[in-house]
Amino acid sequence: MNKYITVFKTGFKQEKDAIFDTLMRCIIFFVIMYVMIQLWSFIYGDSGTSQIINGYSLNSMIWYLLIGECIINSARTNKIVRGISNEIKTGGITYKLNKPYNYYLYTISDFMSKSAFLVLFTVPTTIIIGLVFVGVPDGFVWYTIFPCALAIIMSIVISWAMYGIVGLLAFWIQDATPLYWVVSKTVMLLGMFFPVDFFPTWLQPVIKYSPIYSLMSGPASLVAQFSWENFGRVIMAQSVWLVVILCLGLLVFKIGKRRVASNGG
Amino acid sequence: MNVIEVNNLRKEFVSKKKRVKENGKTSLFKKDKVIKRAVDDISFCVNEGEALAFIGPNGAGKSTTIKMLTGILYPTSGSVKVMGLDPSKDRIKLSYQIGTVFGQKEQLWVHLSAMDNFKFFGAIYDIRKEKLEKRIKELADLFEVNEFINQPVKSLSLGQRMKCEMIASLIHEPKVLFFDEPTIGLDPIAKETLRKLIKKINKELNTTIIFTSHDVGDIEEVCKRVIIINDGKIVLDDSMKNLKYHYLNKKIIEVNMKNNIKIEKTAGVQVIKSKDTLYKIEADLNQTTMADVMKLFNPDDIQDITISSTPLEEIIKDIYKRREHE
Repeated sequence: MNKYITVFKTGFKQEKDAIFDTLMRCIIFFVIMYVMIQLWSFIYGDSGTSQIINGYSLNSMIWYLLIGECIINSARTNKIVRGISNEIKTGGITYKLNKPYNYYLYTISDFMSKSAFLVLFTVPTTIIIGLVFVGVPDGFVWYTIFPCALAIIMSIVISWAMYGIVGLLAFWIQDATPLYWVVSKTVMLLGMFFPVDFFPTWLQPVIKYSPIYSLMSGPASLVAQFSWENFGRVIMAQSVWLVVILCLGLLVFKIGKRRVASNGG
Repeated sequence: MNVIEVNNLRKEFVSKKKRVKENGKTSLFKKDKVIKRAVDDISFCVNEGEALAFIGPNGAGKSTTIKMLTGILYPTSGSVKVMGLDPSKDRIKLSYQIGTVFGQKEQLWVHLSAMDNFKFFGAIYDIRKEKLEKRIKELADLFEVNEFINQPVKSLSLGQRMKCEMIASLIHEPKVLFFDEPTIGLDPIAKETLRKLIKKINKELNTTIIFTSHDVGDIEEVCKRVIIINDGKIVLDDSMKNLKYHYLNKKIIEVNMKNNIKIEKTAGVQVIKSKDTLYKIEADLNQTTMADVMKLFNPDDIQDITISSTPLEEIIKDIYKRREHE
């Protein structure tokens, strides 16, 4: 475990050089959120704060979207999929297989460090946008920051572990990017844009028992409408999915590494 | 003691090619399996402390063999034992005993200093802090990197980077070190420094060296034994001394005469170049003697003479070609 913490720390140090890139991402994040806020304000209409749609006020809806977008922006999952997929395709993975670590866990730790650096910028940006446009979340109490932060961190860790598996599928398929698009757009559509309660009754349990809830709906709804009961449910689902996804990732890597084909030096 | 034992090792890469129909058109969906045998039934052993050159032309199978020895690739058949371990089964255990330096792929984090990199690799190999600091100091002194140890790797020259790469690979005191074209792209001075360091590692630390390179100078200076591989098969496994002795029987003689002369046809003597009073001939000492060759020139008319052996590079090229024709 210590060596993966070292990978995380070292990656974090190296990431400091990417500060310009990070700031640019925050600006884009701000623009996207501004458009979304305008859109939802229009949907909620003139009655604004008093209007409730599927149990969500404008304030909760905006905070839900903000947290979802913050998680997507911080995780930058396309990077891990492209990174692993390219390493498998080009044979670059071979240079990492002769070290005393598990490549899958090493890559997750490395990309997690990139996320951690980004989180330092995206979280304050999220909070500022939320406070400026809709104020503090409904029923906010200061100590709920900690359970909410834990749920958000867990969702980013699960994102890396899950998209790491998508990248590892490049052992079997020529390019994992199209698969990434399918998975990420499904997560966005069923998790980020709308809370679970917005979907048809038959679809709601499917979302709640899928990783989408742990990745997106769970932590976002926790910030929007905090309750300890909801927190317990989210953390429980996240813990189970984290273990399942990590085990699956290790298994996929174990089987896939036999397919490493790097002809030539 | 053998640190590496390879028996009947074989590696096949399977790919798929679109099937060509009887009418000569390519099928849209049907594909045929194409098997490329990269390593074909090779066997060899390496003793502890040996410096072995593993050479061959591009696509010969040398890197594939090295990758199987380090546990990166799984053999199709045959067996490999490195330090008594099976690399494909005990990859992580083995990685503590071996080190790798790839000239074409850097393993260092370029935005970080060399020192931070060494500490990172120390942690990866589970080395205790005090031991790691001592080890870094020893290696920094040996490789003379103290001057730039705290600079970011991206600001170092290629030669300095390669020294750091080597330290990173030696940090865990490996018993076997694999070098894959470590001097590629280096200037002659940096090359020379690196070769000396590799020799030093081999002699002073008794580390077994497996070396692949296209630069014959590297091989000649660093290694005592050569394995030449071509088309996945070992075509020569001999000591560097024997290789030179058996294959260096051709001499190149360059003579500058006072006047033009006519060189008589002699068995084993071939005129390579003749311009004005300058003559360049190749003498095969298996067919003639140097004394007979010298008789072709009047000693009183010789202004200058140079006798040299065929460069090792030419010998190796000759071996590759000869085996291809066989």
